[in-house]
Amino acid sequence: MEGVQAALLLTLQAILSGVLVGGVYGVLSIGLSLAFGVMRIVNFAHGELVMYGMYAGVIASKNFGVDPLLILPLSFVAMALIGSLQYQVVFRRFVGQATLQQLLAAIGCALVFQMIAQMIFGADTRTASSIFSGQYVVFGPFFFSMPQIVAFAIAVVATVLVEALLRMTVWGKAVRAVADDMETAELVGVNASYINIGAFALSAGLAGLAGTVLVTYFPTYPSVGFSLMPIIIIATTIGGLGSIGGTFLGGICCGIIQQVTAMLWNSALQDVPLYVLLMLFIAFRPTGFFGLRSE
Amino acid sequence: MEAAVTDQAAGNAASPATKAASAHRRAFAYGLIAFVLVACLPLLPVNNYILAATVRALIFISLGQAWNVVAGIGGLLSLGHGVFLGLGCYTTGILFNKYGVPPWLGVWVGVGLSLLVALVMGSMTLRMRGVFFALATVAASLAMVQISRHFVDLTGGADGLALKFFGNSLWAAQSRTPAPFLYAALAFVTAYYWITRWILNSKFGLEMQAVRDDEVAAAAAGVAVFRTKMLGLLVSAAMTALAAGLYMQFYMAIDPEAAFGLSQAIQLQLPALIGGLGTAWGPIIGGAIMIFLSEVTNWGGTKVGISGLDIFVYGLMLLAVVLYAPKGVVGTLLRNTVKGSGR
Amino acid sequence: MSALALEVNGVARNFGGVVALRDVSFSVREGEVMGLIGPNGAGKSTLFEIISGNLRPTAGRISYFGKDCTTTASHLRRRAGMCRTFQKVRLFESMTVRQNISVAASQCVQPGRDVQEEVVAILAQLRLEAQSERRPSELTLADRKRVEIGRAIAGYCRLLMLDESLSGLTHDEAQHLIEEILTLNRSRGITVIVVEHVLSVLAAMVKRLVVLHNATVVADGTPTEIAHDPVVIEAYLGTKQKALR
Repeated sequence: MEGVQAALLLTLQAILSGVLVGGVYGVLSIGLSLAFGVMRIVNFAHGELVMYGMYAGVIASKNFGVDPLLILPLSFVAMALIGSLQYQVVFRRFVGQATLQQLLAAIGCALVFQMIAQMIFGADTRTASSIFSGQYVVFGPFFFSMPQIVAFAIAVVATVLVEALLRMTVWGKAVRAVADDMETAELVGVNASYINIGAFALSAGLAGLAGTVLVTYFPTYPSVGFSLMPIIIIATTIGGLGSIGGTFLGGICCGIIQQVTAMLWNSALQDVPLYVLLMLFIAFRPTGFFGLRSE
Repeated sequence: MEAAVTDQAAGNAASPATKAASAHRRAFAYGLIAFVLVACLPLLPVNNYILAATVRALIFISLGQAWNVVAGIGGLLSLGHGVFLGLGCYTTGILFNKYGVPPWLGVWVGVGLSLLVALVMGSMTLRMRGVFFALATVAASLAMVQISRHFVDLTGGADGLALKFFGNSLWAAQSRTPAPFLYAALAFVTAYYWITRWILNSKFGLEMQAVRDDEVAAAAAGVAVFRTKMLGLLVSAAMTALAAGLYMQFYMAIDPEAAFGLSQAIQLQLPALIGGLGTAWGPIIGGAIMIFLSEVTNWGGTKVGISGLDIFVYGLMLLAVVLYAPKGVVGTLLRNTVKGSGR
Repeated sequence: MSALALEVNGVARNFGGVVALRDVSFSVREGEVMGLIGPNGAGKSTLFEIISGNLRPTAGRISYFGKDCTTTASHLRRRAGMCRTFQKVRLFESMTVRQNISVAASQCVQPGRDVQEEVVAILAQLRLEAQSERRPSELTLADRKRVEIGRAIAGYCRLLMLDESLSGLTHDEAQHLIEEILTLNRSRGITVIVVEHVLSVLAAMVKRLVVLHNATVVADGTPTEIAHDPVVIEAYLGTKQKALR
């Protein structure tokens, strides 16, 4: 009886931790989902944008003694600018079609970004510390890492804000119109090129913001982007490419599955069920739970 | 027995067929010269480093040629082709170290395993849009990284697998000097070149290219799209796993990252992308360019104190090719050639 | 009484909540040249895709020369002689004209016949010999359409379905194309279904029209009958400007 209870508690702990971690996976991914939904661009360099956000947090914390959480707006803006640049130079010509050329161009970007990071920051693993570092919160039989709770809270807020932006503002409606049907949107007077670059900037900004939040409990290194991309891809595929809320929930699913696998089986294999899930989704439901119908 | 290359005489009054034929002969001549040069390398007073570098280049090219079949001719971007490389390497290595199976036999088990994995992966993902297939291959290879790291007893875990050294041994396919590997690798590159040309000129190759250009139109022309894609993937997987055997014997060691990692998988694609997707010469020329640039950059990088600079160059080259010369070096040169197949 | 090349029986198709086709039924006799028309949004494309095998109907059956083919794969339909062209010409851009036709010829050629001979014959029939080594990007639209038709009939063709093949052509080019299609019908006995949404274009070409409107068949008769049918007139009146583009 005690054994079962203990197992149950551990599982519940894993699930709850999974939710926390998953929320951050979610906010890491909603940028990618947005870019795909509006412009059909799969930004394989999305992980690198996150990576720069992480380094921003490290610099703030180690070089300036400022808590990474305080520079979130700065991270957002900086990455939005870099994202706009990336869009103008590389992605603009690929808008509308998720072609393989575009994927290759994104991979090229990723490699270049990685090397630039390595040249500037060095190849070592770096961490950042926030005021919450090392703190733990205890709720009954469960304990949670404070940075993770804060990160989750920020993730939720960010996601809600983005959804609100898309559903309630004029700009947001224009973005959704373009995502739906670019030609028709232009017919009714929407300037698709402005919308596209804006949406991409938002997607990049979110990546940076998510990175800065993530680095409060997760170390960074130049190729961390490639390590994060699988989870990001899985979260977006499960939740649905193009759906913000769906991707966030997809992230939470990933987090839960990952943590439960780590606990029940082995933390070294914690991502394997996710990869299997990805394959299954691709084979049977590529649009995810909430995604747009992919052409 | 011909290969095609550039046709520069735009204002030439000769018929297209004659132009193409003379271009073919020229390319074949260049190819023959290159082949002889490389084959004679071990006989010249060059140091082992250059020989080893040539072997590395040739192995790299043959992997690129294998990828070119499914991606260049077939149009299916496999981002995780490392799966087959890794399966080939690990199978050969494990069978040799643990069970004493000579690599000459072991590699075929690796090929068989790769075909199986390709079959499973393909049936799940080939009916979907290309982007999803690409992502699925990424997922598969990353899963393999974790799996190979975990089963330490079998694979040596994160440290990887090293072959037991037997010195110069034909049975173990090992050698103290790079020379035998040079000939083996040269044989691979040449064989794969001819295989690629044969495919391009065959009905199968035509089907693959039709599917690549426009799946729906291909079906409307009677092509069995799914079966064609699957066959292309299987051939490519087998070729990769076979070359993986050579890879393993030359490097004598493999680890999860080198086998299945994303960085490796991306590098595999560059020879064909830079040289010219879907052409027989593409991966060879592209691979040669890459290795040359890589050696130069790394040499320069060590002078300046930066390691891994070649990855940066790869990224730039990839961007440059995709944005400005999507047909690669060979493809762009071929724009004027009249004959479409047999490149 | 000649055989029925195609029988469409009670075909319906929904997309989520949208009804694209509702109880569509008609048949086409072998050797007939039939037109399928209707205003934009009437369901012509959906019906076309269902007949050619790229879409499954939600209900109903398709029969081809007496055999049910509702669930047959599209490439198998092609090999059985049910051929189609596309609204926007879709050729294999990386291949020459000859290779474009070879793809179809090698897949569909009948046992005992030589692929190369078939390719040469098709090139001759459609007067494409001069362009056989060119790439599609170097051709005019009219020539591209002829290549597409050549590819569509190569090897084996009993039923040819044309999807708005005349759009984008000048009057003369369209006339030439119509003549070529009618020649194919007469000399090879190929049944032809032409989908268009401009009435006038078809009038001279076909002896029979099936009119689609609001997801179902509203008229079926000779061009003269159709032109005077009040239901058809009303269907087009509201979209008259677009239809007569």
